[in-house]
Amino acid sequence: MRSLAPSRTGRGSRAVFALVFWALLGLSLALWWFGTPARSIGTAGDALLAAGQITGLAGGFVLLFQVLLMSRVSWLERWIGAHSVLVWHRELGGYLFFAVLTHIATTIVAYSQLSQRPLLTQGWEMVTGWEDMLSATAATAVLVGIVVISVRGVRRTMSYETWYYLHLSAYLVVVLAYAHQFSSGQQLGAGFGRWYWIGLHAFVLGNLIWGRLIGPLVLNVRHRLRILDVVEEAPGMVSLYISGRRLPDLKARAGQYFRWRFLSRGAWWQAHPFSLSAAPNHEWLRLTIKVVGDHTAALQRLRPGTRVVAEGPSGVFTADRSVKRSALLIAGGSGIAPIRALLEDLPSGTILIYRATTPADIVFRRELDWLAHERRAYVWYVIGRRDDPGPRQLFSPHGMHKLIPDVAERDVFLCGPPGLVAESVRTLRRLRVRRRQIHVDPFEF
Amino acid sequence: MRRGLTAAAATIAGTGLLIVAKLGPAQDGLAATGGTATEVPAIEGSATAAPATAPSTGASPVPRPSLRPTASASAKPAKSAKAPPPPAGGLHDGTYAGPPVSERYGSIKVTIVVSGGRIDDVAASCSCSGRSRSISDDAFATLEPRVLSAQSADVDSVSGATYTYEAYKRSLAAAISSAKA
Repeated sequence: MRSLAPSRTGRGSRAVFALVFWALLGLSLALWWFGTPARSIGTAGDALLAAGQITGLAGGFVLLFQVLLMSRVSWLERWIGAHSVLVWHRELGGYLFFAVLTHIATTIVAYSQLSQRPLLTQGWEMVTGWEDMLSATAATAVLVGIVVISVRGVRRTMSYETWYYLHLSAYLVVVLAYAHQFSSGQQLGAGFGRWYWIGLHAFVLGNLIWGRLIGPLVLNVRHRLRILDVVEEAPGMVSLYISGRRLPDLKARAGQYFRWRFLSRGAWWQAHPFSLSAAPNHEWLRLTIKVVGDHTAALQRLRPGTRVVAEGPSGVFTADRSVKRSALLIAGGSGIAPIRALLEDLPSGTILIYRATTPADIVFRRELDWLAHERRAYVWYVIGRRDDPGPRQLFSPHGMHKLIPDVAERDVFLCGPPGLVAESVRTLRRLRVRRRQIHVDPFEF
Repeated sequence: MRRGLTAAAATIAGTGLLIVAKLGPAQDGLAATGGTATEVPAIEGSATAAPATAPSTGASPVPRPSLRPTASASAKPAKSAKAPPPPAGGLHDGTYAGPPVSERYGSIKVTIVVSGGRIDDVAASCSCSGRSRSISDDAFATLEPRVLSAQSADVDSVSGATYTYEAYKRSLAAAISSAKA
């Protein structure tokens, strides 16, 4: 089902993805181009109507693309990586709003010009009198609501879960706006345009059902995951061991993550992504969580036997993405979890730099030392805050080069707080480590 | 934010370019594609009066299923008489189809039935889809009684269906003039 053949998510495949996006957008706009006779736009009204049609097609296409990006199908993530998927979704969101508003404004003004009626009268007539336009108006209202809650200041006032569940109403936009595109869309009423548009919808819906419903359902029915044990690793760090049936069939890899939902009172309604903190084996999966909020605190109190619903495995932060023969791992704080798992999968001679604020914050100390011995890896513990002299020296180009003279010949896997990751990437780039050698865990801490 | 502004600016520029590429002289957007009006010979005694297919149009006009049967049933066989009497309204009896006139959203074709020298029935079809179809169908329903009472192509416009109205008038005028010939 899930092929794990090594494939690259380098800049090349991301460029191909962008190319596909532009080609499909172009095809959508071509419906307008070929449906509009040459020299047929003579008046301002005609021009506005055309602008309304073009922005409508662009908006409709981008809306579908947004849903596809969030469908959690694995081929998409393997293609461009989870982080890029998120970036695409975020950037297109604002644009979608712009396109839809322009579509509405230009179309109403255009018809009011063509029929020589006042703007408000025309707008009212279109909303109330035209087929399927009431639901399209409702779709616009929902879209405006989503944009409002996504404005940074407003978003900060609500919890992530509130925001997330409100954001799910975006599906309503797709449903409510569907009908008016066909009943009023000049280009979509009949012929190729109609079938193309229906095809786009069917494709996106199919992926959505697969990625969000069928895939997770099959996985959880087949594996029946349960909590095996809860272990405190360090103050504020807790490991969950999870068992299930036929675990090897999960085909999870070190460095990947699942979206976990723990079916206990108070926690069942939230699903969160957590990386595996050990390479998966036949007996159990392990994730290690830093206790930072109510939800993670509740996870500390989970009892063995609790049912777990998982979605995944996801992520391309895996050893098979290496382009060189040796590797360097850099972990900061709780970012050690996927790095610890990766250490099991990487060749001997791997170097791990692990920064922790105090010696007490180091987790997996014994495991790391044992792995270092077993897999002939080198582990460097760096103690102190990022701004302390020791870590600063190490994360400077000079310090890093001194510690790892062949750094330019290694793949570098990074996971940790954004400051540490950004600084490390800067340093690595100055040491001529190529972009495709640098692998950053998609989680934004 | 900056990327968002770039995307918005690119959209405006791109849309502008697309529109400019399709720009034409400010005309009423009408062009007769069927040449001059063609007379559809009414078959004697025939109860149906479906208009024959119009010559050479890109879009295929879909005629309404049929005109009212009474209209053609009572239509005198105008062409059968050797010297037809001068008709009362200056129109020869029969069924006449105007040429399909293309407008922005499709092509409109009007067919009239003349009996007793008067326009007895008028039917129109539009080869359009979606919103245009419902706009033009509404306009046809509004225009029909106006034509029957005016007995000419000189009818008031229909608001909200300017293009349809203009094309309708031209096809109708052509049909009427062929009925006069």
